Amino acid sequence: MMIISLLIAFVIGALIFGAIYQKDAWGNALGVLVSFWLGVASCALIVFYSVWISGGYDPLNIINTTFIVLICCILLCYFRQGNPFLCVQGLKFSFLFVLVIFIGWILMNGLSHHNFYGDWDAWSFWNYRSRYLVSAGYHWKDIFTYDAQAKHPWLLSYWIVFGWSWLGEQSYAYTFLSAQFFGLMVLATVFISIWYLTTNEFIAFVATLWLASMPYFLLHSISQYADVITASLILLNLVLLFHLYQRKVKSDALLLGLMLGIMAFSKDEGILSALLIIVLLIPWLRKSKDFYAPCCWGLLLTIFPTIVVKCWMLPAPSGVNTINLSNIGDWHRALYIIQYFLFVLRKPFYGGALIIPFGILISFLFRKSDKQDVIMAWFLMIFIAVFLFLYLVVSGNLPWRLLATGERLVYQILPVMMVFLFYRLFGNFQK
Amino acid sequence: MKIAQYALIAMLFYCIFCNLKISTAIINRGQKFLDSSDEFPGTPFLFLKPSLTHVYHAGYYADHTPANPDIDPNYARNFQTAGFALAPTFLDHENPWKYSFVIVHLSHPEALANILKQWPSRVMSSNGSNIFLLQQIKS
Repeated sequence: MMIISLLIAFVIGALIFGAIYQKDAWGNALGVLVSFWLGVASCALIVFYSVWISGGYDPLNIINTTFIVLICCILLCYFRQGNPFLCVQGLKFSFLFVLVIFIGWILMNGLSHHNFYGDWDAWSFWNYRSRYLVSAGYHWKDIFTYDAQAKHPWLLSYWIVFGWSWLGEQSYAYTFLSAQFFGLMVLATVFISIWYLTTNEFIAFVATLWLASMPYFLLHSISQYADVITASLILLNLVLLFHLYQRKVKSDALLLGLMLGIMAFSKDEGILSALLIIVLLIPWLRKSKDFYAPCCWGLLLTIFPTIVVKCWMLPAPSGVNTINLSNIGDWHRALYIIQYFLFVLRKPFYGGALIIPFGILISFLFRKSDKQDVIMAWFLMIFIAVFLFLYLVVSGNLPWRLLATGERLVYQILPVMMVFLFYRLFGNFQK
Repeated sequence: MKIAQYALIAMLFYCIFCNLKISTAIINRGQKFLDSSDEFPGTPFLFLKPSLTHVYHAGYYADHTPANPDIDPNYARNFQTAGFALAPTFLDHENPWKYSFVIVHLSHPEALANILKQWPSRVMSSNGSNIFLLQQIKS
């Protein structure tokens, strides 16, 4: 059933991809990756609209809506004279890619003995939401009386509900295999991004193998958290941004808008990342005004569920997370936060991840920066600065907060930092 | 520049070697942990074989009969149909029975009254009116 869900997702994604690019054809591994995400998000959106419009969970409704969406996508592709196989047209077979994904899968499977049901938040948050949606019937909105449930958008939970609808039961195996799939998607995104940016397949292989062997990466990938989805989408959206800069095609702007909305639908950090990429995009859009409209349309098509959860479903604040601006001047607190992250990266569990920040800093001695470099550097700096600021000003037990959330943040930006390092050292620079 | 590139690649291969050693050690430890358990014999796919943690999630996935008779599956199911959900968890991986709790997320105002009425001795603490930690299941 996992394969059927993925197949449906991929077909929908490939049809949307084909409809977007009927004139400006491109297709390669990046296209396949994008098609998968478009499809996964479409399936999650089907569940969202189905539950929201009909007032409660109904598997038959979701299955029927999926068929309607499939037919609409086929018609859209047909009338726009698109090619549904466009995303796989330029695909080249890469033995190293298959090898590294296979190694990652073997290791994830081995380690999942510990994590068949995922970690804490999988039970009490992501899978819990899916479970609640399926069990609570027309009372599903009551979940938002517990304010933590309104914290993050629902992409992962909706994807699980989508699979359960087709399966006809609430299967643990589905959540477990979904986590593995998303974990492998992060590996695939890193491989394809480095290959795309450096045109060096061997370097992409070594980098991805390094990531695939990190115990922390593997265990967190199978934790069944939405961080895995966010990590993959942050990197993918940055690469799509570079793609837009290089090709300067309106369809790319539409695709980027769609994917930014999907990223915002994954987690709160996804919303922040989408905002950051939009901010980084604005100076370029001011010069290329033709790209405003497609980018905004794309974003509008996928951002709606996030707005619903963040604006309309938000319960009254519990008062647990209060902002204390007087902490800004607290250097001990700031030092503690920085020390914590350096300590985390130093652990053997992170498999030498400390090389990445130091490698990036050292690389500035050897090479000047280009446009893509600057964008990645700004993105990482602002992303890290925002979270350092939040850790600084949000009152409460700082060690506990860092312990509970710090390592997840590292997971989310680890792929981007890794790609940044390899682009700095092996990239084809554009002056 | 070339020196930096070669240095990085060399370091990465060393890291990959060490990482694989750590990862396989964790995998082996997990395998021993599973082998020592006779809770779930005959599971056809090794990688799908649930670990001991299964029992603690039994209440969460209320379709399965919990291993602990203290938790009545029907009671758990009633929670679900009333709009509650159970998310049992454990805090100590080495000795999980010692610290097993059930977290109840309340979705209806009347839930608090129901819990206090039916399980008065179980309520240990609450976070607002939303989460209740029920007393440890088994020590």
